[in-house]
This record gives sequence, C-alpha cells and structure tokens, in this order.
Amino acid sequence: MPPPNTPEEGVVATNTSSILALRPSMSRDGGGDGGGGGGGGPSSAAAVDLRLLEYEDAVDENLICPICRVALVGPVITNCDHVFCHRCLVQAHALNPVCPVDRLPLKLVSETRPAPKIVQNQLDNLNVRCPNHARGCHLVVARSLVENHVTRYCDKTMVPCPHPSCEHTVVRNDVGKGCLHYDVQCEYCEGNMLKADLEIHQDQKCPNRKKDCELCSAEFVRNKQEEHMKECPEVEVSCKYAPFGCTQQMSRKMAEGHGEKCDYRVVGPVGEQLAELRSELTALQEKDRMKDRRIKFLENRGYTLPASNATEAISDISLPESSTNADMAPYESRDQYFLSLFETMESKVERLSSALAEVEGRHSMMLINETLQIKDQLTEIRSTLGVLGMHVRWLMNFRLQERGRVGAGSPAMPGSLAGNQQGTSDPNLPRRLSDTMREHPPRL
Amino acid sequence: MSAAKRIGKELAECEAAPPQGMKITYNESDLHRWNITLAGPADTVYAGGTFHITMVLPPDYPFKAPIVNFTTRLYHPNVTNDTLGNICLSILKPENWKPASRIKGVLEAVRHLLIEPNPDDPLETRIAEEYKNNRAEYDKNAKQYVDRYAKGDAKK
Repeated sequence: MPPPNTPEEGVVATNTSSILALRPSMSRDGGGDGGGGGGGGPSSAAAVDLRLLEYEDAVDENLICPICRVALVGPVITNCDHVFCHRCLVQAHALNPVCPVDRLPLKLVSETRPAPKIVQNQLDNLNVRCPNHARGCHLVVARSLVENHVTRYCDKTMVPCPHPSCEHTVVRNDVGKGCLHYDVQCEYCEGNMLKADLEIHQDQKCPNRKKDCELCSAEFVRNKQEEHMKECPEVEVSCKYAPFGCTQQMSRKMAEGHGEKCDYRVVGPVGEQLAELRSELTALQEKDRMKDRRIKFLENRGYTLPASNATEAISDISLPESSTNADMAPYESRDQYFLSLFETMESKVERLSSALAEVEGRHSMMLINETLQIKDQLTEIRSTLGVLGMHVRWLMNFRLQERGRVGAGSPAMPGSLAGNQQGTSDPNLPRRLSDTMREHPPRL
Repeated sequence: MSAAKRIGKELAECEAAPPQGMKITYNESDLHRWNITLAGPADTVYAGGTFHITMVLPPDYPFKAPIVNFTTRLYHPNVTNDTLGNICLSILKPENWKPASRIKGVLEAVRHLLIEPNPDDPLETRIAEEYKNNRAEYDKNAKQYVDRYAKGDAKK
C-alpha cells in the first residue's frame, strides 16, 4: 500500500527549496548506487525499487537505514553523523524538521551531505536476489547490477505484450509465444484465468493442483507428473539386466532386490566388459578408417601425378629415369617436385660454372707462363742477333778497309795488328760505318 | 510498500525475540494491526494478570508513531481508566516520536510502564495522586482491577 505522504507531496508542502537544492547533489554523488536509486523520489520508481530487494546475506546493522530498516538506498549523512536513505530522511524531515535519531534540529540542505563513497561501495556490493525471484529467476547479484539485470536480461521481467492491441504485460521469456492474454480454464479447478497465468497457477496456486500418486500414494503437483514418474517407487520398470536377456518387470523399489537375485546377474559384468570391448572396437575401426584415408590421400598426391605427367618433362631434361623415380617418392605435390628438380639443376649449373672459371684461370696461367718463356727467348735471340750484326759489320768494315788499302797500294796489315788498327781507326769508323750502313745495309 | 517492508522486518524481529512476557498475534491480511498479550511483570501489583494490547501502525509508519492501547482495563496512572485504555508514553507523543524508534522498543517501554509508573506525567491524575501519596491504597485497587479484568479468560 502506498503511504499517503510520498516524498514529493511532503516536499511540496513544507520544504520545496531545500529539497530541490539537495536533490542535484544527490543525483551527482549517488551515481554509484545501483543506478538511479540514489536520486530518491521519482527516479527510483523506474525499474527496481532497491528497498524491496531481498538480500542474500544478513546486512550489517551499520548499513541499515534506521527509518526503513533495509539497507540504505542513496545514503545521506547528517552533521550529527547519522546516516539515512535520502528518501526516508526527506519524508521524515517533512513531518518534523529534526534528525530522526537524536531529534536535534536539522536543516536538510546545509546539514546533510551524501554519505562517504566507502559506504556507497559497501552497499553496492551487497548481494541481492533478483526481484523476479517469485517468478523463477534465482540469480544472486551485486545490488549495483540488479537494475541492469532486470531491465535488460532477466527472462522473468514483465514486459509489454507483443500483441499491439493488448495492454497486458508478459514475462520476457514468453514474448516469442505471442499474446497469451486470453481466457482459459484450469483443467483441475475449473477456474478461469489468462493463459499467461496458467502455468504459475497450476504450479503454485490451484487448489486441486496436487494429486496423490495412484501407485505410491505420495502427493505431487499434477504439472510435474512426468518428473514424479521418473522417481516413483511403484512404477513398473524392467530389470537392469534386461539388455542381457532378463524379461522380468517389477516396481522400482523391488528392482533393487531383484537385481541381486536376477539369474542374469552373472552375465552382467561379462556383458559390461563386452560392451566396453565393443566400444573400443568401434573406436579402433574408426581410427583404421582414418589411417586408410590418409594413405590414399598421400598416394594420390605424391605418387600417381608425376607418373602420368612429369616423366616426359623429366626425360626432356634428360635425367636418368631411375633416379627421378627414387627422388619423386617423398614429394607431396607436382609443383614441389618440379621445384626440387629446378633446385638440383640450379646447383649443378653453379658447380659447372665454378669449374669453368677454374679451368679458365688455369689456362690463362699456363699461357702466361709459356709466353713469358717465349719472350725471354726472344730477347735472348734479339741480343744475339745484335751481337752477330755487330760482328758482321766489323767484318764488313774490315773488308772494306782492306779493299780500300789494297786499292791505295797500302800493304795489308798483319792479323796481329788488326786489333790495334781497329782501335786507332775507331774514332773514324763509326761515322763512316754509319754512312756505309746507310748505303749498304747488311744482309742477314 | 516500504512501510510494509519495514513492518514485516520488525514483525520478524519481534517474533524471533519477543519482548519479555509478550506474545504477538496478527492477521496476515493486515500487518498494521498487532494484538499483543502481556503477562504482568513479576514483583509488581500487575503480576499474574494477562493484559491485551492492540497496536495500530499508521499507514505512514514509521514517520508517524504507532497507536498503542490497552484493551484490558487496568489501574494505572498513565493509562486511561476506561475501555479505550489510552496510554501516555513519552516516546509515542508526536513531538517525541522519531522514525528510528522501533516497535520492540515501544513494547518494552509499555511493559516498563507497568513496572515503574510515571506519576509526574499522568493521564489519570487521581490515580497518580494516589500512587504518590497513598501507595497501599493504589496497590490494593490495582490488584483488584487485575483480579477483575485480567485474570483467566480476560476479555479482549
């Protein structure tokens, strides 16, 4: 039930300016408390009323508002060091402008301020249950996050019905099921209700919702019959050795006792082992198939391709057939094969070129050696030629002089004097010699 | 809504650890009305009596004080000597009430009033005078009232 004095009314009646002055500071500092709750008054009505939350653990007494007796929402602290929810303090102050704890006169604007951040953080960290707890959401979450959860994510939040002309609300989870707001009759109590409410009604409210089990006489909710059937001790079940051949049927509570006496219990362990082996076998078969496939794959890629196509190319490059086949096996694809072939070729060419260079160098060395010898011999020959030429000229000169002396009647000099004569005639000789040489070049 | 929340909490608190000698009953459809039975405190003139109290929590509780009445008549300087059974209790006065006060505190104060009446702030001045000046007479009258109204199947 809503209290007749909502904070807004009280504010307007008594203390408008002071509240308005306090509120902005609250909304500024109260940002940390679960979003909007700290603003007090109107904004807290938005999605989740933090006052109505259920707390997972007992809340520390120091974090409880002395007025509303729940964990503080938008805490404010007075100058006399008492902490209240902002909304509670405003409401109390409107009736009696004193501190609600020690009754000292209190000015709402100048003598209160938002509680320290540490208090707000402690409040934010309190774990609360989702307010849709009753509808089945069992989430426990920090108080500061609960509003986000409810407004955005909780499946159990009531949202407007998807049908455009329907004004009702529906659980978010059921939005996809279309409009559920038509009357149905509960099959158990014959009461009329909306389809949307039927499930909760049958689970929790319907006076006839419970039913005694025909077999075990335990009471269960009709809607949960299937679940009960899975555990009802009187339901007929087959023996646990049924897969091995036991055909007996008995109630669940008897099955236990039967299991120990069943004729097939000896077979049981063997059967289990068999099943184990079988599963192992299938696993191995699967592995085997995988391996087969891999082998086939490799064969296709590495072997058959070069055999069909590449041999011609290889013979073009005139490599010995046998070696290519040996080389080919490990290659995975044709491209790779050719690439490797190319590489070997390249290395061969390199080797050849280096050998060529070596040979060239050797040749040139040999040539140089030979020519040097020839050159030496040539100069030797030249010098001998020069010497010979000199001899010839001397002889020629000697002859000419002799002839001239014979011509002028001068007696021929004896051979022993020839050296002397040559020495004495030397100063003249070269000039003459050169002249004569010019006139009569010596014939070799 | 927040009033209901707080009342629920206080109710749980009082049920978990009720004030001495008190039993609280209530109707689940109206948590704003509590019925309390109080055993007269021992070593007082009210010992042996069972007193019925109603407490009505106003809609804007806790901003307004609860209204507490004795439905069992009793002879006491601070309780009107009639069927209304109004109580004069300082913490329940509007100028003294503070939202931080709690029901448990109120109930304990009521019980304490039976142990130590407050004749300086009386509702029934005659009884107060008698309490102050002729204690024997007061004790006798009080016991008489207890015997008459607060014994056995006392009226509610």
